[in-house]
Amino acid sequence: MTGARFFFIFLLAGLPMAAIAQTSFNVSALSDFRVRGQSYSEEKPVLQAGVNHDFASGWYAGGFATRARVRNSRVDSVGSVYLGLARDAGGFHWDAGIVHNMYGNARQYRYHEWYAGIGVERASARLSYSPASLGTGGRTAYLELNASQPLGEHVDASIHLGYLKPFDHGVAWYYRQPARADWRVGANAFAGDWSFQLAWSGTRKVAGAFPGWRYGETRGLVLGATRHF
Amino acid sequence: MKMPFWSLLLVLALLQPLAAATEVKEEPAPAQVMVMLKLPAPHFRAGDNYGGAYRNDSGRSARRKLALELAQAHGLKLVSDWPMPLLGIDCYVLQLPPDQADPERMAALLAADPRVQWAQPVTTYRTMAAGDPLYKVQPTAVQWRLSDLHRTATGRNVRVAVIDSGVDDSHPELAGQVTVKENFIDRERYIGENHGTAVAGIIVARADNGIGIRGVAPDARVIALRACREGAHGAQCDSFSLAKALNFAVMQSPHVINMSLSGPPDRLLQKLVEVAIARGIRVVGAADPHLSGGGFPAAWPGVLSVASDPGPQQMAAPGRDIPAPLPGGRFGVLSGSSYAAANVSGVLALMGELRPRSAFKAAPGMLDPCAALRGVAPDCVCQCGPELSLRNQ
Repeated sequence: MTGARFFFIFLLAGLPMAAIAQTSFNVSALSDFRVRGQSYSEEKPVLQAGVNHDFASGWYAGGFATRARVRNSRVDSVGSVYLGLARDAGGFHWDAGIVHNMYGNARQYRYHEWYAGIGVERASARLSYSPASLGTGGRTAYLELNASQPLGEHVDASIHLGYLKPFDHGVAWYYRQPARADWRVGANAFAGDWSFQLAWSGTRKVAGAFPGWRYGETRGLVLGATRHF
Repeated sequence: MKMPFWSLLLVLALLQPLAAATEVKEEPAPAQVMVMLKLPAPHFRAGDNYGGAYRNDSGRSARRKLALELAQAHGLKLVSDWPMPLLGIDCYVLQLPPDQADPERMAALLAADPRVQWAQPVTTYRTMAAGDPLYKVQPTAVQWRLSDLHRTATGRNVRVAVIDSGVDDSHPELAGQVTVKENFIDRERYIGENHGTAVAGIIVARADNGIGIRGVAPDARVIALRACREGAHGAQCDSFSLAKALNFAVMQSPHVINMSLSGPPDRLLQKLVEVAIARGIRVVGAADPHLSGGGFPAAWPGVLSVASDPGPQQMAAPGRDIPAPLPGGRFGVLSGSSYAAANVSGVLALMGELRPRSAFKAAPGMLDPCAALRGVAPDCVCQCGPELSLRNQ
């Protein structure tokens, strides 16, 4: 995990003690861990944890870890570390950075993605690019649109739409990913240091063949509770 | 029968506690300070939902914990908070204990903490109104020839944010004229009150509905933001509620923000007013003749300062004996710079219909709205007064 070591060292070195209060943590329990519409927990509940630090300059860094379970593989956990820069600019905001994704018991799948996003108060768009998605060497681009709408002081509705476009199949034809779309529609509630989510999430193929467990069309309900620190 | 003297003394002695019991003592409100913590721009977080609103972002708990830590360290009590994404800050209100009455000193102590962007006391503002509710004829109808102006513009597609006490939008003159209602006073719900209802009515009261008055811009719409509370001594607001309302107003992108109130300079409010002006929003303030320059926000550069009884360098508009709607379907006649400012906001709404982002410079003296409209619409058929007070550049 050379890439992960690099990011963690950077993260720890960049944490000035005087600004330690800009660090936030969260612990979540989810009924199903889904990434871009696909379940990475075989639609079973999981526990997750995350940390994020915001520097005064607008740089930010963080990490995320979760138990996972993926059919026909030895993957038992997923982790991510990320680093980026975010700024407000007039009536909108933007951010750009890099995220490195890792899979427990499956080093070959680790990969990183570059991303850049732009947004206003309740809507945003982000474009991500990976030179070797899932470690196979296939280049992919992913475009997502996100929006939320308050339904009251403590509740909002949110929607996410995503589109993954592979440009090649990398090292082997059997790793070829299809172009696929994913979605997530749900509601979020906030109470003090807690947040709760209820969402319907899924994915479907748009074009291309999709052998293997990674490319199935699925959809499911996700319930979650998060404690923020 | 004569009452023995000692009996009289006894009666007076017994009455004294009752007199004391019925005497209502007004305790001064505890002093408060605002602490501003950095609010990061929204960004990617692995495993988190993206695109959430500022009010419920993932870092909120950490900032709140910091605010609690600061409060405990200085013997204060955390009472409220509100994010101000326009300024990249999260604002926390801390209350001083009753035995401490120096919010300036406390703000300086808090500002010395490197984790704090800045700190300031919560200051009080008053609305600029005087007079008792009586019904009379509108001065603007006579002095401004309102019907002539309305042949050119009525404020269509223009929104005016009114930061004031609450607006009673169930009043027949305001039915359908208020598109947004929000309350920014903690622990209270939105209610319609005299000052806010009158100000909104002066600007957008429905025309040709067979009752009451005609607003200066009857086809404009009001964003009614309750940041002031009315009590026995008139309407009062504080810098925290005003800042929340102003932050919200700017994010709604109205053409005009009307603030018929005045008070001392305030750093947080100044920054928000500057953002509004930078975005091309007209900010109108009622001038207080008892404060230097008319008080804040009227005295702030870029704000249109309006008075009913102007000084030599001040813009004026009708502000005496102004008929206006009041809560509960009533009408009254009111006087004060508050209503003069509302009349000017109405004229700006008319100009906004004709040319939304036209540049202009206010000049001292009584406002001539006809000349103002002719500056942005040369085919205006209204008759203009001899003096051009609001020039269009």
